Amino acid sequence: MSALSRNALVVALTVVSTAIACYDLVLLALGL
Amino acid sequence: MPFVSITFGIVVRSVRTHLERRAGIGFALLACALIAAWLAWQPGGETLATWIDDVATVVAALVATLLCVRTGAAQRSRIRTFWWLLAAATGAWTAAEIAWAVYDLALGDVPAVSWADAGYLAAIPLTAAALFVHPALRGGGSSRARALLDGLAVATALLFLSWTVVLGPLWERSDLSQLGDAVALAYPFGDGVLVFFVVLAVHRMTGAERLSLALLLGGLLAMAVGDSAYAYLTGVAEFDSGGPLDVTWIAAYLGIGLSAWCAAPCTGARPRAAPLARAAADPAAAPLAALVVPFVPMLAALVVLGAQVQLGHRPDRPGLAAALVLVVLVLTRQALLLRDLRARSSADDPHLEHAWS
Repeated sequence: MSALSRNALVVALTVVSTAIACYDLVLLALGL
Repeated sequence: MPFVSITFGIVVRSVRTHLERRAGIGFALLACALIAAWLAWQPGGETLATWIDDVATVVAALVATLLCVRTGAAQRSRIRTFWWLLAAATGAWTAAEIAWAVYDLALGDVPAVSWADAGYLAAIPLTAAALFVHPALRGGGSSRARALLDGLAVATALLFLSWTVVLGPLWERSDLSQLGDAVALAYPFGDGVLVFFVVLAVHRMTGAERLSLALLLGGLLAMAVGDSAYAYLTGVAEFDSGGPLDVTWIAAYLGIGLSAWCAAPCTGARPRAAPLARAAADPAAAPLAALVVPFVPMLAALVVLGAQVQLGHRPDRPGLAAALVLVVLVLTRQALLLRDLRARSSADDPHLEHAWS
């Protein structure tokens, strides 16, 4: 896998995990 | 001519090492598949299946111990201590498995808390100590904080998933005044700690050592699955030795043994530089799996948490604590990543991709 596609994959995973973590945080905050 | 013969010798040795590794992994997979099939169908009856199960588990633990001793004896560097401590841990597991087999086969019943538990529980701190002295977990590096956060996030994610699926419901049902339940619950938590250390080490490894640690990680994950299932089945009083689940422990011991088997030929000849130092010097060489693997349990736990809350199932207090810690760890990790990227951009670092490792 090239360095470019490797970086793209890790960036995508980072963005997705950040988005879900923020979403979970909002859900938990609303639930509290 | 001496140059040609030396080169030929290196090539032959390399090919032989490669084939030996493949053969070892293939043999372990085949053995696990055969034993799992036998335990599932039990063609010779339940008693024979129990004998095969108990004896195969002892043999697998013993093989792992011997391979760790062999690998430790072949080392000349700091990693020797790692292998000796891992050999001590697998030795404790072997003793525990022998005790279990004696209870199960000779006495006909395994007590809720027995001498076998002493061996199982002793192996956990010994393995943690082994991983703690591993060269991959020593020294420093620019991404050390993020690696630590990754490890903590992975351990928290596994703990959250384990709590949500297995341990939480069990905890509500079990009577913790009973020592047996507490001991059964101690195993998955101990496995979580071990998996945390191995993920931390894998993150730091490059080159040939990665395969050895990946196999160790696979073995410990198999053990975590088995221990969690054991904790659950003990809680509902349904665990019975001789079932297909028992193959997880055989796979765990064979994974640890394979870790030693694959490490021996490549590190036994001469001392090697600390992997951490090499990874710090060339982080771009970090394997793709080391970059992607930490995301898998993190994403799984975050998705389960979101779905759980969305469906109106609020986590209980320990589950909520684990969930909040997980979210904070993930966001802190990403914030550190952004800071590193900004620092590297301002320094006009041509190797920008290093920040992602």
